[in-house]
Amino acid sequence: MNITGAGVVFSGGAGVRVLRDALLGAQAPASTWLEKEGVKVLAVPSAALAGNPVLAPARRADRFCKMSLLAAAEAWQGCVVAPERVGIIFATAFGPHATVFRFVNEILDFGESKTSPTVFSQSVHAAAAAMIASSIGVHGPTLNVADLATPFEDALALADGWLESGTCDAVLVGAADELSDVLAHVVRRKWKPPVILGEGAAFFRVERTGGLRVRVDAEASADASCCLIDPDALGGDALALRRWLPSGVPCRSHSSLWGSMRIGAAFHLAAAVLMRREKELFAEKGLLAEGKTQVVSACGTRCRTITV
Amino acid sequence: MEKREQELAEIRQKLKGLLIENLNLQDISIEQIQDDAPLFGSNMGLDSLDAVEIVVILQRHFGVEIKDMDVGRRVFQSVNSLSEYIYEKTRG
Amino acid sequence: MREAITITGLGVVSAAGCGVAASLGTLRAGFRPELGPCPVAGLPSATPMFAAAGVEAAADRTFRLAMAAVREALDDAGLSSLRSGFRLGVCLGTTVACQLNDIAFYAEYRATGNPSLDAVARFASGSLSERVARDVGAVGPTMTVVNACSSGTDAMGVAMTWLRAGACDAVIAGGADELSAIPASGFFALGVTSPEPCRPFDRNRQGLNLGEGAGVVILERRADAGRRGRSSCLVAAGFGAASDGYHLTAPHPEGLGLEQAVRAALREAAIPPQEVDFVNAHGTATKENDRIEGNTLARVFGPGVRAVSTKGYTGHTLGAAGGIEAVFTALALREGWIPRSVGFAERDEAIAIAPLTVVTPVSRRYALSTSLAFGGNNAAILLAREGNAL
Repeated sequence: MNITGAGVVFSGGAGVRVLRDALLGAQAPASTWLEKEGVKVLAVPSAALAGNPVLAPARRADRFCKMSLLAAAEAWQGCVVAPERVGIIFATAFGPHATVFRFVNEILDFGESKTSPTVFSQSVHAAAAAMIASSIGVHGPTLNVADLATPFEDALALADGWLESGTCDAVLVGAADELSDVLAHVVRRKWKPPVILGEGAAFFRVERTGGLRVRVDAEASADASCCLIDPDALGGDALALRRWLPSGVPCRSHSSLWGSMRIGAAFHLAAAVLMRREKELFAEKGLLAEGKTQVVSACGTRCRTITV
Repeated sequence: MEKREQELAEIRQKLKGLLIENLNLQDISIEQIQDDAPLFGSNMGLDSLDAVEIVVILQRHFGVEIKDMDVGRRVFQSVNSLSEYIYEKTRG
Repeated sequence: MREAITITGLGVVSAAGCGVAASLGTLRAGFRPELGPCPVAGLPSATPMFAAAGVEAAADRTFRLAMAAVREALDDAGLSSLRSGFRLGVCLGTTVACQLNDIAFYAEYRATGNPSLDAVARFASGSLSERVARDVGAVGPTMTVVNACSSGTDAMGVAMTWLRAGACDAVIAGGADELSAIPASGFFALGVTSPEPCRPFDRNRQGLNLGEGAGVVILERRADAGRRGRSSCLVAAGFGAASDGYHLTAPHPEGLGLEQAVRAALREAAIPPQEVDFVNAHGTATKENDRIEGNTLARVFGPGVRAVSTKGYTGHTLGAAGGIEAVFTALALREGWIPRSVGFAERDEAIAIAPLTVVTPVSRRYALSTSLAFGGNNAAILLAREGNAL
């Protein structure tokens, strides 16, 4: 499959342009402080989620949906495929948990028979992809997945399956995860080494031809000239990762730009795509080598690599 | 009579603020919501999900129950009809 | 011609019974099951809840329901022990188990700022599919579908994609969900729950009832099943899914997404609508769903289409619904009879179809199960019976 579009929302702001600048060192995102839990996080700035015309018709979008919608809309721009032939696969590890807890708050404060239906409708995992579909007007299959190990990588592999089987002619495939006090609390107590949590959304448009060739595998391959890794991926297994990395291939991590997330591979893929688009510039900076870039993730005995 | 008018005005004001906040109405202020404008349909553009949310607003902020959505349909025409219903049920 | 994907195992648990045999008994008798005590504390008595039979109340209930159906299906398929190198994939749908939503945990966090992390530890131990895979020793791909009410059906579509792509040798596919205060409260707030036992497609229907359970099928390429010495008369002949792209909680008024999904499934199987013997409809008994779904099915299959909603026996089991209903559809084909649509008594003139009121013999090879989800996704799976004439 081929990547023909990309969109991203992260702690530096919204848009691949902002990510590009951050990669070039022009603008490092500032971390913020989650008061209640006393931890540093890399949060998406509120300004990035306001004032964008894409969000105007989506008045019911909570933060999680807004991030997803912006990234998906950016990745979809320029797509000429018929709406019923465009599918959506949306992956997450923790889903819209801030909204889920808002709904649980409603139950605790008002009782089960007096809660807000709007908050409930936002808390259902399927809301984000539903909003994307109605916002950009596509009617192909829509799939939401929630897994902890390698949700984005597996969603990308499935997108390939949908293209190969002729189910769709284009797939918007992406991932999002959000911050909340509760998540920060859990992370702080469960993972001892200080981890700077992140949040955001990254989406890609994939089609059978055009753009940048990409593949997903269950092991690292020797044809990579560089590996992009997230050494901790929010409680991930750094040792397992080391086991899978091909020897002699340089490894880099850019996760300090967007924080620790189980869906970090999606952001590294966005970085890889941006770097390949402006090869000379990034090569000059020593960030890109001739040949393929491989995003490598590992979880226990499982390995996933995305090669562009 | 004046007291009734004053209380109705207070209800309308409070209601408009709650509608904006709880229905996530963007780019509209309390002053811009007309008292007799139809809430549903193309004007304000509210839909069935907003209707059930308004039931919760009435319950939570005014202590008024709507048990039957047929009553709801009648009463939810405009800010005026909602405010009069609230007044009737709480003070009338 | 694409290689056939066979169904080599079935497993199910719901209010209609724990296991295939018990479920068949309930469906054959055609009466609503007596509702057992609701395992969720503190729910309003405002709407009947269909608790699953035979699974003890416990924390982690969705996982336990899933495992009950998974074990039955694996046993049925002869896959309770796996040979080394066998790639068994797991694709299950859910709406409750995918969220960190434990109310007691959150209440404690709110009150003390230092809650017990037991609920979190369970959540962090893996998604539903990841945990099931670990439990049964499956080493193939895993994916947990969270598409609200169409999750179970969508999960089977994913499984079929995996098998066609050669990503694994067999797949545990379906869905599971436990009764939970969160969707109960949410659907009640939306005003779509019925204070009485639900009446799918009935003129006087007042809304849905919630239920719980799990429905699982084992899917394999026919040649692979044959090599294992298993043959099955049941085939997953086609799948289709499409999004309404219309509204967060209401289905498209013309059922456009559903029609697209159904036609895609028929196209994959290369059959015309007339070859479909019956449809196990989503049929939640809400005013909107039944009207829109019924009219859409009439448009595609004609108003005389044989339809049944089995939610009168199980309630709306959310993420499990697609799985449970696929199992019921497969069983109908296998056993040769379609259950009656319990809860239906009087026709609604606004709906162009009326469901079956008596147990009816199957006369053609194909049957369809449809699911319409919150958020507008629609999924349809087409099953077939092959082999001896009926």
